[in-house]
This record gives sequence, structure tokens and C-alpha cells, in this order.
Amino acid sequence: MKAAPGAPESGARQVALVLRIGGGLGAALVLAGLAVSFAGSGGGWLHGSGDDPLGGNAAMRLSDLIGGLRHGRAGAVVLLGTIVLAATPAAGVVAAGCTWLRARRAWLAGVAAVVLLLLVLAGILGAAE
Amino acid sequence: MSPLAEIVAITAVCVLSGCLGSLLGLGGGTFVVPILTLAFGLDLRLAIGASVISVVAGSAAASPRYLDEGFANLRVAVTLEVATVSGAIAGALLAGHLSTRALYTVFGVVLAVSAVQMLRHRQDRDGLAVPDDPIADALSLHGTGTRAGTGTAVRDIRPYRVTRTATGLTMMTAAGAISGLLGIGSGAMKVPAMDLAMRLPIKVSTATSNLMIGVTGAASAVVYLQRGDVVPLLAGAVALGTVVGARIGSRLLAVVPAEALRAIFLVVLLIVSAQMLLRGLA
Repeated sequence: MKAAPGAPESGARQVALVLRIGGGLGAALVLAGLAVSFAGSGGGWLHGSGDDPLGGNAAMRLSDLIGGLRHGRAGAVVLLGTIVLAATPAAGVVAAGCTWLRARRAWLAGVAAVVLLLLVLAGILGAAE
Repeated sequence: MSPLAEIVAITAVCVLSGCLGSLLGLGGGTFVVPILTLAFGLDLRLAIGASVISVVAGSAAASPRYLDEGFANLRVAVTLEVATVSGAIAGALLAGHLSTRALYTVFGVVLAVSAVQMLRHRQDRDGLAVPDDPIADALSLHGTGTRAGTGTAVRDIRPYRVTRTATGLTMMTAAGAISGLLGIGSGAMKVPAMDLAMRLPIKVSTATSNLMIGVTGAASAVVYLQRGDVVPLLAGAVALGTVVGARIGSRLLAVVPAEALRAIFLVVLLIVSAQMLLRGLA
């Protein structure tokens, strides 16, 4: 079934909803992490004393997430937010693929599956670096 | 400058860059990396790592509106993402092995090419014959969209046919590679691929590019996150600024005079390009 001219196409509303939720959640986590960071080292942020929060030493890997959250590191909360943000477009592709699968548009659902497989491959190759 | 002042300044500048990136379909990263390196003196690799996150965040913020309003073509976006994601993985992996000077030089060249692309006068090619394309037919990529118009919110809806999908996929692979390498959205390459090669209407191309930029950026982001090139607080500040800017930009798309914006953007792009090239070649 075709959408009326100018109306959102099949799957568009679902993808838009997923992007809104993921974007909002990711941004909220980032904001919370920034607030916690500031609360924890407000003096250092104001006067420039202590470690540079924007320097290379503050960089984190994906594998640092769990340990960072366990130890209550504010940077880990921000990292979680950025991971949610990074995963949001992939969730959008999942939503589009599911909608197309239900609509029996096998070719399009297949293309969405290929995109998701490539994203998984990106993670594997990145970890192997 | 204290870290707090730096974070606030970075966030504020990223609001502007996110707004421009959304309006022009380029993604905020085009401006984020030069700003972080040239103005704030941050390490290029960390700037690219932050930019990648901001590119994804900006796309997630701007795209829902484009999808709701029927501007973005979801089928075209997902189809072309096969190419952009492949390219982005290759680019992001390559970035880990290039010197900083090489990255600055490539960045300068890409910005200069983007500026040249901006010089081209784009217009909808209504009435021109569109060659048949079996891939577009098989995947039902054709759609309806608004005719290009500036300064008007009046919708002139008409159907369009998509063509040369294979050419589009080839161009998108290159765009994805640049995106992964430099942490930018590569909208300057994606929009012409859809607009000139695949014959999508300009605003559909811009909106679809915005949607695709998120998935391309996600592929790069995974590699950068795994490699430890992301400083959470920096990426967070940049992402927040970009999200706010992208939301503003997506609201302005229907009413902003695109030609005037393009002219201002062109000048800024040329200046930044020269500065990046100087860093790379000096």
C-alpha cells in the first residue's frame, strides 16, 4: 500500500520514534554525566587544577564502560550516553527492517539486515585494532 | 581558559555548527573538527573521535522531523547505507594508521572540494527524462517529495523517480570512507550523489543525507570507541551542542533562504580549508 503524497512512508514513523527516544536518552545520560563530573570536581573545572578532563588521558575505550560504571566514574556515565547515541541509528535500521518484514517487503528487509551485519563487523574490526 | 569555560564554549560553538550542518545536510562534523583543533588546540584524533559522536547525535536529533514530514526517503537511505557503512569502516580503520599531518591535509582538501560543490548551482530537474533503473524499481525507491523552494513553507508535493542507484552506491562508498577517516558527515558528497546522480529532489536529498549520516557515523563511532579515541566529556559536550543545533536547524529548513546560507558557508569553508591545509603541509 502506498502512502499519500507527502505523507511519511511505511516505517518512517517507527524509525522517527526510535531516533527520538534514543537521541533523548543518550543526551540525558550525557547531560547527567557532565553534571556529575562537575559536581565531583567543580573546583578543578573552575580553576584548571587537577587532570585535564578534555585531554588524551581522559580518553576511554568501550571496554572501560562496565568498570567505570562500577566505580561510579562520571566519565563512564557520559560514555554510556555516547554509546546510546551511537547505537540509536542502528536501532532505527532495526525498526525499519522489522516494519518492512511485516509488510512482506523482503528485499528491503534484507538490505536493512546487511546494514546491521556491517555495523556488527565494524565493532569486531574496531576491537581487533 | 578553565576546563568549565572551555566545555561551555565548545558546547555553544557546536550549537551553531549543528544548526548549519543540519540546514545544509552536511552534519555538524564538517565544522567541529576544525573548531576543536584550530580554535581550542585539541588533539586532532580526539577531535575526530568527538566529532563522530556529534555526527550521530546531530542526525538522530534532526532526522525524526524530516521523516515525519515526508522529506527523507527511508528506503533510499537504508539502501545507500550499505555503501556508506562499508566505506566508513574502511576509513575509520585507516585513520588509525595515518599521521596527524596527513589527516590535516586530507581534511583541508575535502573541505576545499566541499566548497567547490557549494559553488555549483543546484536546481530540481523537473521535466528531464529519468532513465529506468532496475535496482530502484526492485526496491521501490521512488517516492514523493516537495519541490525546491526557498523562504516558503508552502508544500508543492510531486512524485519523483530514482535512477542510477549503482552510481549512487559507488559515490556513497567514497563518502563513507571520508566520513570514517575524518569524523565528518560527508553530506557534501552524499547530497550531490542523490541530487545530481540519482535525481532526487534537493530537499529530499538533504533530508535523506541527514538520516544516513547517523548510520554512517555509528559505524565509525564503534571503531573509534573500541580504539580509545573518544574522550567522554569532550564528546558529550560536542554531542549536546550539536543535538540542540540540529533540532534548531531542522525546524528552519523549510523557511531559511538556502542560497544566502550557502554563500556564507562557502566563505567559512574556504578559510577553514586553507588553515587545515597549512597545518598539514607546513
